[in-house]
Amino acid sequence: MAEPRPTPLIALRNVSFAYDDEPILDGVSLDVGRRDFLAVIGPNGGGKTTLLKVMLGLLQPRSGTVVRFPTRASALGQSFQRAGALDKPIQRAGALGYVPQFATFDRDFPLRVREVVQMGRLAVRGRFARYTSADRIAVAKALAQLGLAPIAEHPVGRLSGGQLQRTLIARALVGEPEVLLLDEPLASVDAEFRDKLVDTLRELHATMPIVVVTHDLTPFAGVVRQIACMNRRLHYHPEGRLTPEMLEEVYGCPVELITHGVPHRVLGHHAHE
Amino acid sequence: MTMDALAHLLSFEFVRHALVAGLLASVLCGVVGTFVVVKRLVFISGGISHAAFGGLGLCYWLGVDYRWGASAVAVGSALALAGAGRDRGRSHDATIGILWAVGMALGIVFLHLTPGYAPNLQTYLFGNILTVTAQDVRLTAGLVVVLVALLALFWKELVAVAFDEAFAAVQGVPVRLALAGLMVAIALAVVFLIQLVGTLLVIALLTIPPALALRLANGFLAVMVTATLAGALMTLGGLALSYSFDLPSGPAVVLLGAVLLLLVDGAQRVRRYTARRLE
Repeated sequence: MAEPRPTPLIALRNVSFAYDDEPILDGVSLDVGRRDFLAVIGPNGGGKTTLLKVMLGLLQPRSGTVVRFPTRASALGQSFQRAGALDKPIQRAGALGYVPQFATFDRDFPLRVREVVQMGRLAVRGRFARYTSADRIAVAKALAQLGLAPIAEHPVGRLSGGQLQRTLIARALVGEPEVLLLDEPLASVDAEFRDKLVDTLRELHATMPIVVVTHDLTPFAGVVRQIACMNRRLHYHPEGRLTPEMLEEVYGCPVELITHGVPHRVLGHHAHE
Repeated sequence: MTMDALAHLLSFEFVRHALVAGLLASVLCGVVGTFVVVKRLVFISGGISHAAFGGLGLCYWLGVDYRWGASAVAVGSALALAGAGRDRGRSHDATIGILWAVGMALGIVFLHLTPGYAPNLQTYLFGNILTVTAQDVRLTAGLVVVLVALLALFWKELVAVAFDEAFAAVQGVPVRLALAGLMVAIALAVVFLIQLVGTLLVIALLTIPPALALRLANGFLAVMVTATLAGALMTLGGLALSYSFDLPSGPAVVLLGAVLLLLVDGAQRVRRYTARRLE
């Protein structure tokens, strides 16, 4: 008999989202649990980033419910029933550690690495207050944790892709989030730094659940526990294994799988192997 | 210029007003201009200043203070663009361009329709800092005080929104409100700066001082302060040039800024080049 699943941190029920008349999410239901390392994969334009933004509360769903951090099991049921408070986050602001995909800022933006990381303390510090020594200590800790201390005073516009990615992760961590959500964290990172970043995420997973949107599952082999395939509809695979059949269902065509060797096999064998 | 001549100049009230207005304007350049440049709102700001010309013309035709119409149109178009800017992947480039041209066309038609003595179109297009009145100075001082106070109060939120709207939103910052406030600040700054350098040249005061500061300073606050100082150098220096060489004040201010920018750029290129040679 399967254990009852503990209360999720983020719960989506039958969520739909559309830009104008173009449906992006269609009846998506998904739980993010407290021990999860969830990878959201799928084709470009399949709705991966949109799903993440709905989880973060950056986009409001057309229909369905999003509940974040229900404190008790019963809270989930109650807030699903309260139609008016459809998407009111129950959590403190900043409980979601967000690492966006694109750095949209101007390369001339006059901020140092330390100042960017400090932005992750906004919610902790609150309105009208100045940053305190507690914030500075937390920032120093996050900088050290991600190996950014030597470049803490560098202008953020001159960082390499890997350095910028680490800066954005430090910014997400410094607010003491309860879950880390990353959008394509390896997209602008060179191959050498990839494994280091995945190792960092593996270490972080010891203390918090992680949701990662990625078009390429390979670097996360052996780390990922759950997989969600997103292509307008969501297919959830709690055992973190993928078969070609699953992918074909999502992508709508046969997909070549690259399998990794044991012991960290994520992807299933090809039928002809 | 001798000290006597300077003292003589300063004995004129309109000269004193012009100097104070120039200093207040430089704070607007530094504070508002820095956001305009780092958040890439230059084209939008240009659109707002030209749209405002339509409101200005209407007020002239109706015979009321031009600031009402210019402010209303500037703030209205700023808020409209702030609201429209939320769509994904649409830049509203064309909309801004249309706003730009239609505002100018309306302004010129209204000025043309105004009966009697034809108003001096050039004053509105290129500005005249020497027409600043005591009331202008008071209004601008009020605007500067309010803007600086708001900036001090919401410093960390505003910097975060300028840098990364999505992250700021996840951190609980009311991003739409902050953006709307920023757009209104740009609109009001534009209306005041029109008097100094005119509709056509406003954009120079919002871009040249921050561009100079970005080359010289590091850190958001340092850039703002440097941009303010650069703005003061531009407006006061431009005023001195205008007096000494009998040039129109608006273009003198803008051209001085352009020369400063070229000098700083050139000096930095030379420095980088020699640094490479020494390696």
